[in-house]
Amino acid sequence: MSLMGRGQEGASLDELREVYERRLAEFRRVAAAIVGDREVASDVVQDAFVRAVRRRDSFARRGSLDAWLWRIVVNTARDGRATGNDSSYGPGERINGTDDSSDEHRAAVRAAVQELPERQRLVLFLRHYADLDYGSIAVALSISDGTVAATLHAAHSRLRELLSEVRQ
Amino acid sequence: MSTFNSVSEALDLLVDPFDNDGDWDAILRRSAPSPTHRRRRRMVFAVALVALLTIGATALATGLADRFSAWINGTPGRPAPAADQQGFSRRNAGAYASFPHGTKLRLLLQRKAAGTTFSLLGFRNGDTYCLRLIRSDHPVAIGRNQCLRAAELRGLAALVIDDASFTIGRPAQNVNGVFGFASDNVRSIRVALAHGARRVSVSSNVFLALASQPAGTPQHHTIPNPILGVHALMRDGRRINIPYTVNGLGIVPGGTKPTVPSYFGRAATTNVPGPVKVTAPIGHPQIGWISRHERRGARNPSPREPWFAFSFSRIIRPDPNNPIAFAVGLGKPLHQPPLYHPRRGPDICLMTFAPLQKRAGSVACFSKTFAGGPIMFGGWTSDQVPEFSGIAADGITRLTVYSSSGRTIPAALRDNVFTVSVPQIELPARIVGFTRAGMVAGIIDIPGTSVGRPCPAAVFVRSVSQLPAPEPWEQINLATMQIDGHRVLGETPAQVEAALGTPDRIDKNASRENGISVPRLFYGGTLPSTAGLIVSFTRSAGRVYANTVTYQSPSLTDVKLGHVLREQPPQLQEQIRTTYGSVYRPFFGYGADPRLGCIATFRDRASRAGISFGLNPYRPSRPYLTMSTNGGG
Repeated sequence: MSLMGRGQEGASLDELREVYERRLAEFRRVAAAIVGDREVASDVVQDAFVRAVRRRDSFARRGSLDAWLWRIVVNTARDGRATGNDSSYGPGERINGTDDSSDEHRAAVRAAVQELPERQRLVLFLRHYADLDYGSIAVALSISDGTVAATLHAAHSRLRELLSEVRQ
Repeated sequence: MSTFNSVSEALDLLVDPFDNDGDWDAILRRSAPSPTHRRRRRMVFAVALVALLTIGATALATGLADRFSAWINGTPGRPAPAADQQGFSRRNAGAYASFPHGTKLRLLLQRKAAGTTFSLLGFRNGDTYCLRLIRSDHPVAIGRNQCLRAAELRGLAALVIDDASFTIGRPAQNVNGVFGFASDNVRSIRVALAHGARRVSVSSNVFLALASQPAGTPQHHTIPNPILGVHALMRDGRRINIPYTVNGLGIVPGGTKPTVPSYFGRAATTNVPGPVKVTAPIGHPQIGWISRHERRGARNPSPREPWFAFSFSRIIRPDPNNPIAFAVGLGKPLHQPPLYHPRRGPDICLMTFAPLQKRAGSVACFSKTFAGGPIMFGGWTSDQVPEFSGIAADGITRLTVYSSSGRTIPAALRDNVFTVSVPQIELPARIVGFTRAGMVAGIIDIPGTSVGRPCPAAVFVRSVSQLPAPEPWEQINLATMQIDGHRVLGETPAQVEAALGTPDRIDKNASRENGISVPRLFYGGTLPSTAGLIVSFTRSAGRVYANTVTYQSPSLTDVKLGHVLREQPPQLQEQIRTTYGSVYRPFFGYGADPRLGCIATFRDRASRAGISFGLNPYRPSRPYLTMSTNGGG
């Protein structure tokens, strides 16, 4: 049921639902990359959309709804990571769905990504896992388009470098 | 970047893709203003304070009315995919015990294990919530199906409704896990395994945790990794233990992996509440309508099975909200095993038609019907929430279960057939039958579930210095598995006798394999409980050969370790590890898995042979050691 028509400020429930159902897998993947846990990532996205539904009246329609929602998801994930995850995570929990927890390559990538500054990581995740354009990434992270391009370039260079070091 | 061709490839490895299986309804429920908030707007402060206190107290008392809100509003998840819906409908149509025609399923969540997608489907049936777990590529298969009265969830954070067990592909993979319900306050479910732990999210107030491992073969066993406990991780940060019965065996206290060698011991006798004395005994208990061949219930569609035949029977469905049905009447098995006493005539028998099963299930016959009292069990399942069924004599109009948790659960009773579900975690329990006047006419106990306990220490009656010198058959070499310098495993009975001498007893028909008698030899005694050595045989490719030797003799001596059965099992385990580590690898540690009991196993490097040792916790004075082989030598 739509509570608010187009042309007005705010997002309708139908619009939010449409984005949720269309991009849920991407939201979850980015959240998983940020918080480091697949199950927590699913909860993060649910929490983010609860926030979005409650604050839907504040969507100003100056940018895309997708980008607005990405900002909420990223912020919720960062909040979740900042408050600390549940200490009860066992050795079987991981951000990969497979049972292969001893994959050296995966561990190497994880370690390399952790070496990047947070902004570089977030730009990288949004670009790679969600395929967002520079403008949407800029809105989601509250930075300029130019900063997105520079940050992404720096992230790629640094990651290549780190992975080469690991390999040697 | 030779390991990764690009940054994209590296990032792909970091986080696997997700599916698009969401729960929008849960978002709407959580984002809606709470009733408390709405009330607050309308009331003056003083009144609001009183109201809030009242609401809080009521919520605590009732366990929060909206705790399983996805199910209360009737639309959890989303409509099931057409294939899953059609698969259920086809199976339901082909089953005698079926759910109402037109039952619509909802897809609650999906999980992947061993490369296969599993779907957890749900539907309501009367006052019950039902879950159906299937392989998505086998929507018509029976899968795992379990229903639970909504009232059973009251006050619970979460409940494991059933175990899941599937075998998939070649080489076979075992997929095991649990599924069940979780309240709105549960953030995720943590499953503690014997090795490691997993966490799964909750969606539509249900959860599904699956893990896979190679099924193994008789020659190459895999180490079991059972679920030992389940916990609910609450949104407020608490961790709540969800009582879980390990594969129908017992409960691990606290649901956490034991830190000391453990086994599942018999439950302590609990004071189960409820009546304990029969106050209105029934003189000559019987079921009159069966004796008179009255046409109660419905016609039995399956009066004759290959192994069993009814001479008179009717179908009774005791619970209108549960499709389970029973054929009850007079019948007898068609082919009685030789060990059973022949029956003189037909007995009262109870045959179960489980929901969604295409054929009749188990059958129980009562050769001396009601000899032990006016209530008799027909059978029960080993699920997390087993269904107990049976018959009650005329005069019993009501049956109530009194569980050790303090709950009373009414059993469904119709035309002398009863059925009732009791969670294993609430056992032991007692079923009490009442007369119309409310007097107790019959009582029958349901035994308790075992509990994980520490293994006792071995008790040595005599010290090593008091033991007699070992007989030749008591002298072994664990490295070569030889006895007194002779090879025994893999040898024929005659060869074993030639090597070890004449046994004290030969059980010529210890077992029969494809019509061939397979013997067992006893040394140092004649009974399985007291013999010092028992040599067991098997038959393969037309040849009978020794495959297991079991020692209980305290004089047993290994060439390097000495009196091995005069060591505490943990010490013996360490000695074998240090002395014979080049020959054997630890397979599972002593008492590491309470399902397996107080036992340790080593296997040789090729997994063809192994050593096990341990003790029976109920008889710790007779520790044992076995040497066994998978093949013919």
